[in-house]
Amino acid sequence: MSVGQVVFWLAAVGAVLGAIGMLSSPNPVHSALFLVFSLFCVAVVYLLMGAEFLAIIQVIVYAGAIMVLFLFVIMLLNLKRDEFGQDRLFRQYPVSYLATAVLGAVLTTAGLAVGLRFSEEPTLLVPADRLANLLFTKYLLPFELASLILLIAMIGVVVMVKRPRGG
Amino acid sequence: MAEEVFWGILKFVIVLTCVFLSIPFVILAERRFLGFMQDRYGPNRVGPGGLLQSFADVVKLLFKEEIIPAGADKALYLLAPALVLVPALCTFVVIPFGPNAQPVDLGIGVLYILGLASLGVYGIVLAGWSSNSKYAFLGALRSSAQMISYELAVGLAIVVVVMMTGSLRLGEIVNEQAGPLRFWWAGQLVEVPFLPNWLALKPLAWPALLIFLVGGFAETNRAPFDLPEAETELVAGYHTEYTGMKFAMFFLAEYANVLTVSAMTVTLFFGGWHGPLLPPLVWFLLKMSLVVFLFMWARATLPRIRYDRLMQLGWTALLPVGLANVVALAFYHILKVGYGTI
Repeated sequence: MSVGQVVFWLAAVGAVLGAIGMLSSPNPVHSALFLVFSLFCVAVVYLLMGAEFLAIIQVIVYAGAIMVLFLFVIMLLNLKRDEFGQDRLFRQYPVSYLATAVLGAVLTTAGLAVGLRFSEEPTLLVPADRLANLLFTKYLLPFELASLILLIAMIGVVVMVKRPRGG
Repeated sequence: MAEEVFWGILKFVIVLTCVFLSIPFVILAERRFLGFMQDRYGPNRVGPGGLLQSFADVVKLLFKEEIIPAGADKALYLLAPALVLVPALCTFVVIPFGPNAQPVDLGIGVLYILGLASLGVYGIVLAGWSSNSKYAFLGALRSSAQMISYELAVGLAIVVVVMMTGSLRLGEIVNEQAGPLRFWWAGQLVEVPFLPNWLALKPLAWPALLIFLVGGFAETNRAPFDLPEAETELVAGYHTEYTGMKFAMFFLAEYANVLTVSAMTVTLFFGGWHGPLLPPLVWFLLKMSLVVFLFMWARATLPRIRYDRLMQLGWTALLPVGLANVVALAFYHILKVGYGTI
């Protein structure tokens, strides 16, 4: 096995284990950390595909900024699992297992149909400047729309959180 | 491929060894300097002039009893010091110490350092949280809020540098700063002899330099922004409960971060290894020591800033100034290349 393959398997298995850990961990802080680990492993997979810009943005934005905010809120509220109360969604468990099984089957068939193989050559080698060029010319409209949606979400949160004066 | 990996790892090990070996002396230099500034001797008994003081401290810490507080989250408590130290050390592999002395020249060099800085927060936050102590916890909350806030300003300062040099590669950023000072004025290239082409000498980069330094102080949790470990309020902040080598790891990480920020300041704003007569490595280390000295000087002279003032400074002063700097630079670029080419 080549070095690339070893790293790929470490990262891929790590990402999946991190995701499982996030779902099954009883402690919310541990859950958040498992998610960070999973996101970090995905960034490593991006790196192996040659998309180094995407990988580092994944680390800075998701693993770095967003998850630190999550952790900050979890710690500030000092959440414990027993404070969530009785799980009221227990009737939905069978449905969720069924949905997961269907999704798994679809993804497996799709993967087999395409024919999964490990490519030693980086396939997504896009330097940051070419990405920027594409983003500001060909994909300018979707890019601006995405930033507009984020802005709307931000204003919405501020409006919802703000209490009326004297209220 | 395997050979490449071997040489990569070897370079990494060499750089790390140099950094590790330099930190005890940086710590000693700081303690002696603080002593001088405060009109006392500082450590001068162990070895000639106190040179072996840091090593004696390490030996002492090695023999300390390891204490894990009751109710601590044991796994995270043990993991946290490593999470602080590892990102702090990993940054050094992309720093260009000389023309051929850069372990790896990543295409995303500057972003790589930002990414590692954003991961370094976790160690501090988890150290505070897993200790099961209110002082440590308050320190952790403070540091996470502080580091998120100042990361944005530092990011903007780096955007300014990238706009002026046109590259994310640290090697190219340094190369752009070679030769005499050049800038565009009234449609033509003006060259100023005898002055180097460092970004620190270009007025449009001055706000960015200021933001980068202030943000660097805040990101490393150094005085006057050392609120996460403010001893007058929080005992010792996030590492209150740590003893022995685990405490030493936080200490090492702090100084490794100081060295990183200094090396980054030199690389981004002061022309990296460029300089006349002396060899490049000497120039780099000389400039770097001056920035490290600035860190010590600030610690000796500035009082700790109040927490609300710290947040106010980050969000209402540094961030708008950084944005204004980026916009101003964009207008300058339009003046330079003309409207037609855009």
